[in-house]
Amino acid sequence: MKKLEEISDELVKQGEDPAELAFWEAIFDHLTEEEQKKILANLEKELEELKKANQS
Amino acid sequence: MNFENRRKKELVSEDLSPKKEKESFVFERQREIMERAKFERAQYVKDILVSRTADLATNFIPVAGAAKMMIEAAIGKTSSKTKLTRRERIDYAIIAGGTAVAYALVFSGMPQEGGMAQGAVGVFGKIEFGPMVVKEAAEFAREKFPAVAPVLDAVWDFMGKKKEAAKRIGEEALRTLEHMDTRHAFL
Repeated sequence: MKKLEEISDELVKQGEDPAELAFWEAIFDHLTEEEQKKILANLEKELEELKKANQS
Repeated sequence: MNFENRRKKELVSEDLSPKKEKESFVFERQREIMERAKFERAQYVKDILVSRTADLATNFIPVAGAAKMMIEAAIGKTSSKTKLTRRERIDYAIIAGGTAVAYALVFSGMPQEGGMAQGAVGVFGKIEFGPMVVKEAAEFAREKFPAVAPVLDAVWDFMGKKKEAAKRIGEEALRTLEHMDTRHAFL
Protein backbone atom coordinates (compact mmCIF):
# COMPACT_ATOMS: atom_id res chain seq x y z
CA MET A 1 0.00 0.00 0.00
CA LYS A 2 2.86 2.35 0.82
CA LYS A 3 4.30 1.71 -2.61
CA LEU A 4 0.97 2.54 -4.25
CA GLU A 5 0.70 5.80 -2.28
CA GLU A 6 4.20 6.81 -3.35
CA ILE A 7 3.49 6.05 -7.01
CA SER A 8 0.13 7.86 -6.82
CA ASP A 9 1.72 10.98 -5.33
CA GLU A 10 4.27 11.05 -8.13
CA LEU A 11 1.64 10.44 -10.80
CA VAL A 12 -0.49 13.33 -9.50
CA LYS A 13 2.58 15.56 -9.83
CA GLN A 14 2.82 14.36 -13.43
CA GLY A 15 -0.78 15.45 -14.05
CA GLU A 16 -2.72 12.25 -13.38
CA ASP A 17 -6.26 12.35 -12.03
CA PRO A 18 -6.16 12.38 -8.19
CA ALA A 19 -9.76 11.13 -7.94
CA GLU A 20 -9.00 8.00 -9.94
CA LEU A 21 -5.82 7.31 -7.99
CA ALA A 22 -7.74 7.73 -4.71
CA PHE A 23 -10.18 5.09 -6.01
CA TRP A 24 -7.34 2.60 -6.46
CA GLU A 25 -5.88 3.42 -3.04
CA ALA A 26 -9.30 2.87 -1.44
CA ILE A 27 -9.81 -0.59 -2.92
CA PHE A 28 -6.19 -1.77 -3.01
CA ASP A 29 -6.23 -3.69 0.29
CA HIS A 30 -9.41 -5.47 -0.82
CA LEU A 31 -7.92 -6.71 -4.09
CA THR A 32 -6.41 -10.15 -4.63
CA GLU A 33 -2.64 -10.42 -4.80
CA GLU A 34 -2.82 -10.84 -8.56
CA GLU A 35 -5.06 -7.78 -8.97
CA GLN A 36 -2.71 -5.74 -6.77
CA LYS A 37 0.28 -6.77 -8.89
CA LYS A 38 -1.54 -5.81 -12.09
CA ILE A 39 -2.53 -2.34 -10.94
CA LEU A 40 0.89 -1.63 -9.42
CA ALA A 41 2.63 -2.72 -12.63
CA ASN A 42 0.31 -0.53 -14.71
CA LEU A 43 0.87 2.57 -12.56
CA GLU A 44 4.62 2.00 -12.26
CA LYS A 45 4.94 1.66 -16.03
CA GLU A 46 2.92 4.84 -16.59
CA LEU A 47 5.07 6.78 -14.13
CA GLU A 48 8.28 5.50 -15.69
CA GLU A 49 7.11 6.43 -19.19
CA LEU A 50 5.92 9.88 -18.11
CA LYS A 51 9.28 10.59 -16.49
CA LYS A 52 11.07 9.48 -19.64
CA ALA A 53 8.81 11.69 -21.78
CA ASN A 54 9.63 14.66 -19.54
CA GLN A 55 13.34 14.06 -19.91
CA SER A 56 13.25 13.79 -23.69
CA MET B 1 0.40 23.96 -13.55
CA ASN B 2 -0.94 20.49 -14.17
CA PHE B 3 -0.99 18.62 -17.46
CA GLU B 4 -4.58 19.58 -18.43
CA ASN B 5 -4.07 23.30 -17.80
CA ARG B 6 -0.74 23.39 -19.56
CA ARG B 7 -2.28 21.56 -22.50
CA LYS B 8 -5.20 24.01 -22.71
CA LYS B 9 -2.77 26.92 -22.62
CA GLU B 10 -0.73 25.30 -25.33
CA LEU B 11 -3.75 24.77 -27.56
CA VAL B 12 -4.78 28.44 -27.51
CA SER B 13 -1.32 29.53 -28.48
CA GLU B 14 -0.85 30.02 -32.22
CA ASP B 15 2.80 30.90 -31.94
CA LEU B 16 4.79 27.66 -31.79
CA SER B 17 8.42 28.57 -31.27
CA PRO B 18 10.89 25.63 -31.41
CA LYS B 19 10.79 25.49 -27.60
CA LYS B 20 7.00 25.47 -27.54
CA GLU B 21 6.94 22.92 -30.33
CA LYS B 22 9.11 20.62 -28.24
CA GLU B 23 6.88 21.18 -25.22
CA SER B 24 3.85 20.43 -27.35
CA PHE B 25 5.44 17.18 -28.46
CA VAL B 26 6.13 16.23 -24.84
CA PHE B 27 2.54 17.03 -23.80
CA GLU B 28 1.19 14.94 -26.65
CA ARG B 29 3.46 12.06 -25.64
CA GLN B 30 2.31 12.40 -22.01
CA ARG B 31 -1.31 12.35 -23.11
CA GLU B 32 -0.75 9.16 -25.11
CA ILE B 33 0.97 7.47 -22.16
CA MET B 34 -1.83 8.40 -19.77
CA GLU B 35 -4.57 7.32 -22.16
CA ARG B 36 -2.97 3.94 -22.78
CA ALA B 37 -2.53 3.28 -19.07
CA LYS B 38 -6.08 4.43 -18.28
CA PHE B 39 -7.53 2.25 -21.01
CA GLU B 40 -5.87 -0.79 -19.42
CA ARG B 41 -7.10 0.20 -15.96
CA ALA B 42 -10.68 0.54 -17.23
CA GLN B 43 -10.47 -3.15 -18.16
CA TYR B 44 -9.19 -3.95 -14.64
CA VAL B 45 -12.19 -2.13 -13.14
CA LYS B 46 -14.52 -4.23 -15.26
CA ASP B 47 -12.72 -7.46 -14.31
CA ILE B 48 -12.79 -6.54 -10.62
CA LEU B 49 -16.51 -5.71 -10.64
CA VAL B 50 -17.41 -8.83 -12.59
CA SER B 51 -15.32 -11.05 -10.31
CA ARG B 52 -16.95 -9.50 -7.22
CA THR B 53 -20.38 -10.43 -8.51
CA ALA B 54 -19.24 -14.04 -8.11
CA ASP B 55 -19.54 -13.30 -4.40
CA LEU B 56 -23.25 -12.71 -4.99
CA ALA B 57 -23.54 -16.15 -6.56
CA THR B 58 -22.88 -17.90 -3.25
CA ASN B 59 -26.08 -16.36 -1.91
CA PHE B 60 -28.20 -15.41 -4.85
CA ILE B 61 -27.33 -16.97 -8.19
CA PRO B 62 -29.88 -15.21 -10.45
CA VAL B 63 -28.70 -11.73 -9.42
CA ALA B 64 -25.07 -12.70 -9.98
CA GLY B 65 -25.85 -13.51 -13.59
CA ALA B 66 -27.81 -10.30 -14.04
CA ALA B 67 -25.09 -8.22 -12.38
CA LYS B 68 -22.47 -9.58 -14.77
CA MET B 69 -24.69 -8.81 -17.75
CA MET B 70 -25.40 -5.34 -16.39
CA ILE B 71 -21.73 -4.50 -15.91
CA GLU B 72 -20.90 -5.67 -19.42
CA ALA B 73 -23.80 -3.66 -20.86
CA ALA B 74 -23.16 -0.53 -18.80
CA ILE B 75 -19.47 -0.41 -19.67
CA GLY B 76 -19.72 -1.63 -23.24
CA LYS B 77 -21.25 1.47 -24.76
CA THR B 78 -23.30 4.48 -23.82
CA SER B 79 -27.02 4.45 -24.57
CA SER B 80 -26.57 7.37 -26.97
CA LYS B 81 -23.71 5.46 -28.69
CA THR B 82 -21.33 8.26 -27.76
CA LYS B 83 -17.78 7.26 -28.50
CA LEU B 84 -15.76 7.50 -25.33
CA THR B 85 -12.18 8.70 -25.38
CA ARG B 86 -9.67 6.40 -23.74
CA ARG B 87 -9.35 9.00 -20.98
CA GLU B 88 -13.11 9.03 -20.29
CA ARG B 89 -13.37 5.26 -20.33
CA ILE B 90 -11.95 4.81 -16.84
CA ASP B 91 -14.50 7.25 -15.33
CA TYR B 92 -17.22 5.46 -17.24
CA ALA B 93 -16.04 2.02 -16.07
CA ILE B 94 -15.99 3.05 -12.40
CA ILE B 95 -19.30 4.95 -12.40
CA ALA B 96 -21.36 2.83 -14.82
CA GLY B 97 -19.95 -0.46 -13.55
CA GLY B 98 -20.47 0.54 -9.92
CA THR B 99 -24.01 1.68 -10.68
CA ALA B 100 -24.77 -1.67 -12.34
CA VAL B 101 -23.52 -3.62 -9.32
CA ALA B 102 -25.49 -1.33 -6.98
CA TYR B 103 -28.70 -1.90 -8.90
CA ALA B 104 -28.18 -5.67 -8.92
CA LEU B 105 -27.71 -5.58 -5.15
CA VAL B 106 -30.76 -3.42 -4.57
CA PHE B 107 -32.71 -5.79 -6.79
CA SER B 108 -31.58 -8.77 -4.70
CA GLY B 109 -33.30 -7.18 -1.70
CA MET B 110 -36.57 -6.70 -3.58
CA PRO B 111 -39.54 -9.04 -3.85
CA GLN B 112 -38.68 -11.36 -6.72
CA GLU B 113 -42.01 -11.71 -8.50
CA GLY B 114 -41.84 -8.35 -10.27
CA GLY B 115 -38.23 -8.78 -11.34
CA MET B 116 -38.70 -12.24 -12.76
CA ALA B 117 -41.76 -11.26 -14.72
CA GLN B 118 -40.67 -7.90 -16.03
CA GLY B 119 -36.88 -8.02 -16.38
CA ALA B 120 -34.76 -4.89 -16.15
CA VAL B 121 -37.46 -2.40 -17.14
CA GLY B 122 -39.73 -3.57 -14.36
CA VAL B 123 -36.92 -3.70 -11.82
CA PHE B 124 -35.34 -0.30 -12.46
CA GLY B 125 -38.69 1.42 -12.61
CA LYS B 126 -39.05 0.55 -8.94
CA ILE B 127 -35.67 1.89 -7.84
CA GLU B 128 -35.17 5.60 -7.48
CA PHE B 129 -32.14 6.58 -9.52
CA GLY B 130 -29.24 8.49 -8.04
CA PRO B 131 -25.77 8.11 -6.56
CA MET B 132 -27.42 7.34 -3.21
CA VAL B 133 -28.29 3.92 -4.65
CA VAL B 134 -24.55 3.15 -4.70
CA LYS B 135 -24.21 4.20 -1.05
CA GLU B 136 -27.30 2.23 -0.04
CA ALA B 137 -26.03 -0.82 -1.93
CA ALA B 138 -22.66 -0.56 -0.15
CA GLU B 139 -24.44 -0.56 3.23
CA PHE B 140 -26.64 -3.45 2.17
CA ALA B 141 -23.59 -5.40 0.95
CA ARG B 142 -21.45 -4.89 4.06
CA GLU B 143 -22.69 -7.97 5.92
CA LYS B 144 -23.86 -10.25 3.15
CA PHE B 145 -21.31 -9.49 0.42
CA PRO B 146 -18.14 -8.19 2.12
CA ALA B 147 -16.04 -8.33 -1.07
CA VAL B 148 -18.41 -5.95 -2.88
CA ALA B 149 -18.93 -3.33 -0.16
CA PRO B 150 -15.46 -1.67 -0.17
CA VAL B 151 -15.50 -1.39 -3.95
CA LEU B 152 -18.91 0.34 -3.85
CA ASP B 153 -17.66 2.65 -1.07
CA ALA B 154 -14.80 3.68 -3.37
CA VAL B 155 -17.20 4.16 -6.31
CA TRP B 156 -19.41 6.37 -4.12
CA ASP B 157 -16.39 8.46 -3.08
CA PHE B 158 -15.26 8.75 -6.72
CA MET B 159 -18.75 9.88 -7.80
CA GLY B 160 -18.68 12.57 -5.10
CA LYS B 161 -15.46 13.95 -6.53
CA LYS B 162 -16.78 13.85 -10.09
CA LYS B 163 -20.34 15.07 -9.60
CA GLU B 164 -20.91 16.29 -13.15
CA ALA B 165 -19.52 13.15 -14.79
CA ALA B 166 -21.32 10.96 -12.25
CA LYS B 167 -24.68 12.52 -13.10
CA ARG B 168 -24.14 12.19 -16.85
CA ILE B 169 -22.60 8.70 -16.81
CA GLY B 170 -25.00 7.37 -14.17
CA GLU B 171 -28.02 8.44 -16.20
CA GLU B 172 -26.45 6.97 -19.36
CA ALA B 173 -25.77 3.69 -17.57
CA LEU B 174 -29.30 3.55 -16.26
CA ARG B 175 -30.76 4.09 -19.73
CA THR B 176 -28.53 1.26 -21.03
CA LEU B 177 -29.64 -1.01 -18.20
CA GLU B 178 -33.30 -0.18 -18.74
CA HIS B 179 -33.06 -1.38 -22.32
CA MET B 180 -31.47 -4.66 -21.33
CA ASP B 181 -33.58 -7.76 -21.47
CA THR B 182 -32.42 -9.50 -18.31
CA ARG B 183 -35.50 -11.66 -17.85
CA HIS B 184 -33.62 -14.89 -18.41
CA ALA B 185 -30.79 -13.76 -16.09
CA PHE B 186 -33.25 -13.13 -13.30
CA LEU B 187 -34.98 -16.46 -13.74
